Amino acid sequence: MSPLLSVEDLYVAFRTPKGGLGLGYRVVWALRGVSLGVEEGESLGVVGGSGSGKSTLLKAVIGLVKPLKGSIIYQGLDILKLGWSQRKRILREIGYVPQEPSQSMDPKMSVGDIVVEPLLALGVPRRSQEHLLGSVLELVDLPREIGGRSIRELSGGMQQRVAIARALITKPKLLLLDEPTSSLDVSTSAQILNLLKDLRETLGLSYIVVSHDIDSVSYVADRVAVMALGMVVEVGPTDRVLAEPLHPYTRVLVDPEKVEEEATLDPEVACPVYRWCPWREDRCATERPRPVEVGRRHLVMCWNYL
Amino acid sequence: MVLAIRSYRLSVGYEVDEGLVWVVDRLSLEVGVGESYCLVGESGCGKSTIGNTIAGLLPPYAVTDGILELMGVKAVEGRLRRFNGLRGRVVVRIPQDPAASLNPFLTVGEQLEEVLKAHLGQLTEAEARRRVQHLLSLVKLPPEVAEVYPHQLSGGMKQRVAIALALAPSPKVVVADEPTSALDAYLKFSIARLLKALQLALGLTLIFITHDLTLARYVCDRVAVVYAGRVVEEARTVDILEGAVHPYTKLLLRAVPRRLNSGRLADIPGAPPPPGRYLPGCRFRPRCPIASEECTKDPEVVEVGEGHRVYCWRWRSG
Repeated sequence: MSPLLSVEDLYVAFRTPKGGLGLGYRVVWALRGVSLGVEEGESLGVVGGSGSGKSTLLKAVIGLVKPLKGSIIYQGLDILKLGWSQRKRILREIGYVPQEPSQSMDPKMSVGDIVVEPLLALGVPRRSQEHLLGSVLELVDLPREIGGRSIRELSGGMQQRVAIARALITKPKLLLLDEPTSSLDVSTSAQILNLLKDLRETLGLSYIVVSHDIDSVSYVADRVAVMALGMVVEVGPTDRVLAEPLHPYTRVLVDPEKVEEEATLDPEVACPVYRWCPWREDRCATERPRPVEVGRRHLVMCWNYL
Repeated sequence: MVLAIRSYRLSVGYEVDEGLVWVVDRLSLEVGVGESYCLVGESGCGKSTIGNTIAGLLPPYAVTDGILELMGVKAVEGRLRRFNGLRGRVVVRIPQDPAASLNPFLTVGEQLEEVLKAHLGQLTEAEARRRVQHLLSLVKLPPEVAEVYPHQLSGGMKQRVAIALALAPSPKVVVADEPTSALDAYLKFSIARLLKALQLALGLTLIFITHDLTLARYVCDRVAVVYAGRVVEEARTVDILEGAVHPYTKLLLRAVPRRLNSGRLADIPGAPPPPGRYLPGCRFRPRCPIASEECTKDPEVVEVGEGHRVYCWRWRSG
């Protein structure tokens, strides 16, 4: 089966000021050759610590950052090579729920205007907008009347529902969710995770869910990819990865209590866990590990498994 | 057991535009010296207010009632608060947002020296430097960090510096208010592990405030579940995690995703009531699946096991 969306060998870099009193910039690699795919109806979780590049991956897919190298293929078409009008047609099939709902929506707009905004770019007539608004609000369990209110009057959980409604209004096939529960309380976070599970069943959606919390991702993802410093270090079926994490960094995320050393990551060496990895060899410092297939749709980037 | 913290019918409220709003309601708790005690609950339940009261960091518009003793000294008695001499040497707070508590214009070493000098009087240069290095080694930071400015540090390192600053005056009681909420999953764990190690090594009494019950497991001997300004259940950590009795605690535990368990997460309908809008009787009543008539009266404490206290009329029916 060919994937619905796949990224292949994707590189993204940012220029940041050198800092101190030094002038000029230095280049920070956010993604260093990421290859991942999600099939129709499948849910892929992406986990990793701060700065692992997981949010950048989603931003690259919807065109908020420009990759330096690599391709993003949606249903056989390379998005990065398409013209603007074709790209717009594809992007309506990809919904994006950004991190921190309160920061990503205009507090001066009404909830209704925020939710239908993606339709304006597509030129959908006013009457169908109203109709679509009603149906997406129902999908995310929000009352119809909320359309007239301001985002500031809503609780964090309701704001997140509004953000999900906005992503759903173009009837996407794929939903990209960036830390959908990180800013929420335990009980609200459970409500959102349940909602995501239900939506997937009713609408047959595919997800890419990014989070630093492997447990909440495992609740909604069929497969999970672990990222460290812009690289995917392991990707496989969620139950396999959680029951028996293979890559040293996956072990850190799955069972932090079993790891004695401080698991710091080093961007200067070929494999980010080189400094503390129990299996390190000389080539781990200089040569980047190739993906090794260890099971069905289960890859580990580690020389130890070759 | 020697008590580090004892509160008796301690209430805390804030004087706001609408009048006086009580946030913490007649809290009675006892924490022994060297114990780690966790306060869990949703946002807006009064966890931070309890922490700030113990740390002596309430704003001027706060009103208190009841008694709070720290290491045998009365810190709060009725509406009076006497924290001078207690803050620092006896009790400190580790802030929620480490970045906001560090001075961007001073190096880490200068900030640590500043705190040391304020609490220990004038120190010789060599002595100050020695103590700074000792503090950095306590929080497992390399000695070079003393020469560095806060912006050069990562989030996890900033939190370690904030912990070192808190420990500088050699306190007895440490209040850690969501010390890990700004960090990613692994750093959360590594900071929690550091706090636990420090608590044991230095014999600290630790008040750990979090909404993450799984983190409490690593850190705390005992847990109090707080709802709407009241403790609803208090027990040893294992008893809470494996034998919770209060319906709120049970729902809270079932709302957390557990790995390899795809069972549906518990939906706790609604949200905690805002302070000042509490119903009489049990405050969890409107969201409780097993509430009944009797819950309109204030629940009385029931001892369901050794040191396991629950405030619920219907605990047998859950």
